Formats: sequence, structure tokens, C-alpha cells
Amino acid sequence: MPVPVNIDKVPQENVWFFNYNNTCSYSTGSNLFYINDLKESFFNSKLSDEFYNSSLTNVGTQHNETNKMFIKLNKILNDQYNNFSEYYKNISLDEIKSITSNIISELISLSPDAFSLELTNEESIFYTFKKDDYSFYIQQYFETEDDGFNTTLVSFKGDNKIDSVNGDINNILASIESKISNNTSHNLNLAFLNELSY
Amino acid sequence: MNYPTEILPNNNRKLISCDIQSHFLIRSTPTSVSSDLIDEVTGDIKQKTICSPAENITDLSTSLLGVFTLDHNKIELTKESRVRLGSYCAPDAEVAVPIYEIDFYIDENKGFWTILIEKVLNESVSYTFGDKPGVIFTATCSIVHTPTFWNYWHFSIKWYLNDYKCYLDEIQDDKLNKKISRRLSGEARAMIAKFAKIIEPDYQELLADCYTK
Repeated sequence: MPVPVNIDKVPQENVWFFNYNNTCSYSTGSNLFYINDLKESFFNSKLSDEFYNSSLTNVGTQHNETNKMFIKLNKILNDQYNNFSEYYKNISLDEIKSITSNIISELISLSPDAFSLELTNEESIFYTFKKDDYSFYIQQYFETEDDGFNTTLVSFKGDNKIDSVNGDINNILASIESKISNNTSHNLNLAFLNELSY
Repeated sequence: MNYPTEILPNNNRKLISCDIQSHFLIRSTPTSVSSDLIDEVTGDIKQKTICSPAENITDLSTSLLGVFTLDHNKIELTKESRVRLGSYCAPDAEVAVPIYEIDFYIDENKGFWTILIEKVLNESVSYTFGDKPGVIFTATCSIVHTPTFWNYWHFSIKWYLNDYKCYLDEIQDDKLNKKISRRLSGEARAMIAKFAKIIEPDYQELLADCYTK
């Protein structure tokens, strides 16, 4: 069932782009929102203090939809954790949020056409991310192996599989961004060629 | 209610070895309510629909749609008979016909998903182990005919490990098995999420020559 999200936002108009350690940019908000009767922080993670203290650039209010999506996904995560609690004896909801919140923010910042997440019984989270013709299926484990592995990515364009890769979640995100940006660049080139043909 | 004997193993049957790529596999779900089965945002079936949390995504039980129909999919084994009738057997095994309300009952609330076999069969994937640069293992998705005492048409979606020359469940080293399972799980989940449907497909029965001696 869809999770109704009733957002009564504390007066605060702005959302923010972050540059964190100059590695990634995140579209998110660090503010407090009231979700129904729950008080949720955007970053319920150890990273949040660093984000709060980061250099912030106010980019206006156009990302409210992004914030709503983040909050909705956060609520879904809460509900699923409660349903799956018997499989999560070794990790708390706060720890899961600590591991996933910046990943979710990063994926949302890529402006998906559709995005969902689901906890599995394997102490992992399964993200589905769709944009244009692309479908990305990401399984992120909460425990990182000694060799750095914690994530798999399976990518499709239409019904055709592009590839499957495994590794660290940050490399996986880079792989997704690369595919999407290549496609955007390709489309721009086609548009440019079309222009030239007239 | 009589058990449908057409789905039981019998001494006139053999293992299916002909091409089944154009056929469908079916797997039951606890409910038929579509909003519980499908993620309304992505349009894909939910992960909890693909298999229950207690089951193993890398060795998934299904049935071959054809002689085995949507009605047969509503058969539910009783708790008492589940282990006995759910065990693997030879395709031509002599089996006792299950008895209604002792061995099985009909669950009208059950739903299903189906998948076209050619979408997943022989799908090959190669992964690395980060701590062993250059070492790659390759796995291939296999659809294996695995008759059981209650269902001749039972098939398993499994992963064959080309480098180890065995199926994943045959790897004895627990640590290695876990490493490989964790990498293949996402592949299995993605394939099914991408291609499984909860609508009845236009399907055909397998030719009798394929399963009769």
C-alpha cells in the first residue's frame, strides 16, 4: 500500500546542496520535518554533524519534491524494519539509516523517474532506480566484507541487460551516474546533429 | 476433493530435457491482491513477492506452466506433509496420491507470478572478489527439472558456477558459499523483478514426447 505522507514542515524554505569532502554532491535537507506525528531528521547518521558543518549553498526551494521523496522513503524504511525485525537482530534501524541515508540522497539527486527501496531478509537493502530507458537494481549489504564488497548493481537499458558489477557502494553510484550522464550527453549530441541537419 | 494426478510423478514419466525457453515458470504468492504484489512506484513486483524472507533467492522453487495450471498453483501442502511431499524424487517414482485436508488443501487467496524462461535461462554473470585481484567467477542461471512427491512439474531456478563446475548449493565451504551467494542474490532479484508478471500469460502445454517415456 502507498504510504501517505503528510508533511507539516517547520518553517524553513530552503534545501541545500552539499559538497562533502569534495567527493560527491548531495541534494538533501538537513532540517527537521514533522511526518505525521513523527519527528525525523534528514540525516539520522554519524555523517550528519559533518554535513551540518559543511559549506552550504542555498539553491532555493525547487527541491521540495526531492525532500518529500526522501521523507517518504525514510518512512517506508521505518515500516519495513518493523516488519522485518526478526531478521535484523544484529543491526538497529538507526545504523541502517546511517548506512543508507546518503545513498538514498545521492540516488534521489539523480532525478529518477521511479525509485523505491525494500529491505531484504539478507541484512541488505534493494533499491530500484529507473530513469529514461534505464533500470538499475542495487543490492547494498549492511556489512562490508574484508575485500570491500558490499553492493551489486544490475543495469538494464530497455529489456536488454547492460552489465552486472559488484564492489563498494560509492563505486556503484559512480557507475550509475556515468551511464546516465553518457546517455544525456548522447542525447544532446543527437539533438545537436539534428540541429545541424536543418 | 481428488488430487490432480496429472501433476504427480508416475512410472511413465522422464526428466524433461527438451527446449523449454518459450514456456513460463509460475510461483505462488501468499496473496493475489495486486497492490501487495507490485511496487506501485516502479511497476516491478516487490522483493517480498519474489520469495518469502525465509526462502533462498538463489535456489527458487517454481513450476512449469502448462499441464500444471493456475488452479494447481492454489494447492497448499499441510504442515504435516510439507517435508515428505516437498522432497525431491525421481520423475517416474511411484507416489501415493495426496489426500485432501490431510496432505493438502486449496488456498483460494494465493496469487502468483510468472516469468518467460528465455528471459532468465543461461543468463551469465561474472563477478570479482575484491581481495583477489584478477580472480573472476562466472555463474549461469539454470532452470533445473526437480520433480517432488507432490509435483512432477517442479523446477528450480539455480546458479551453476562454471569455474567450480557445480551448482551454488553444492559448494561446501561456507565462507565461499556466502561470498558467492551475496553476489548472486542481487542478480537473481534483479532478473525476476525486471521480467516477472502477475498476469496470466498466453501459454502452451509442453509436447507429451518431452515428458513421457
